[in-house]
Amino acid sequence: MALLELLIGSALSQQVVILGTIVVYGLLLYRQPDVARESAVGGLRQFVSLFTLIVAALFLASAIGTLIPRGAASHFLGEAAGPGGVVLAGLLGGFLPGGPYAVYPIVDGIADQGASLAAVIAMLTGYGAIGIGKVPYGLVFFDLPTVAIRLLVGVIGTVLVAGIAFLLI
Amino acid sequence: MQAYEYLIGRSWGQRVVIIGTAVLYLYLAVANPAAAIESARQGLGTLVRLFTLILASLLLASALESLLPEEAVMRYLGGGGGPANTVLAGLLGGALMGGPYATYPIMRSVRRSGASYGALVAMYVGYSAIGVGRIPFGLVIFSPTVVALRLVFAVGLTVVAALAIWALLPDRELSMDEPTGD
Repeated sequence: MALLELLIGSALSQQVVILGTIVVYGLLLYRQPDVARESAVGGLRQFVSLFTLIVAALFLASAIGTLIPRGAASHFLGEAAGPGGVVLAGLLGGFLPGGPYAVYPIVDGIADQGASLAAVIAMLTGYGAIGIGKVPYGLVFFDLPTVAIRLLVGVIGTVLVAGIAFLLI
Repeated sequence: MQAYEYLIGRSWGQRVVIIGTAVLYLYLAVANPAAAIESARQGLGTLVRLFTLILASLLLASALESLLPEEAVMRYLGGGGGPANTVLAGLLGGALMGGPYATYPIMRSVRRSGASYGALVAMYVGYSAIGVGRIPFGLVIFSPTVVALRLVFAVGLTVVAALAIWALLPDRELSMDEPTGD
């Protein structure tokens, strides 16, 4: 990874955030230097106070990724059929670790093995709405009840979407 | 904030992550050292890769707290505006770009600038379910039909969830935002 990529990120979304922050602070320094100084101190203080938590969350997320084999879902869902199979596809999608670049090819592979379109939609929905891999990050910035509510809504929403997808698609 | 709180976190949710991670790695080091080393290597790699992004996100969120017009945030995302505000929050969450480290601090800043607790949860749900940033990855792997269907269901899920959140979820403070006197 080149030094420039380390500094401003390799993905466009990372670059937007990092360069956007530089632009915002540049404008603030020019127009409201006191606000710029206060915001920078506040942000740095939060960075220091959250540092061990951030490191732990990253290590936990990577351990989840190592411990849950990515091929496990295809094991269960060779040819997901019936409403139960579609709901199961959605819930299993919620446990797939990693970013979309890692998970989407797995879902595509399961589709190639014969899973229905409804099962694929349910799995993609579960991956986003439940997203078990995002829980450690959630606990860095929100409290436990908030993360639990998001998970509960994600599970119920995924089951509902899976049921509707099975009926309509 | 006390020194030990820097190490093990302030809230029990944070401590669960830190202590749980330490326990998990100790267990892995004994039971499956190869998995422990591989996980630690990947975690460290992610930390190096995301270091500037995390720092920039926290600085940006801190600046947003000063820059977001509280009156507008309260008008559009505050608790007094009815279900439409919560639905709007969910859809705005869905439009946020970037990973959780870039978006979660921004959601907290919006909350601190006057958004209701329901709006925060709706944003959090909308970001997870819709995730506009995942569309380009989707179009590389799947057909436009699959990507469009996923989006339609995700928007529907977010709207229904936001209405349920508005109807069922009482307003409350995030435990980490409660004053501690330090």
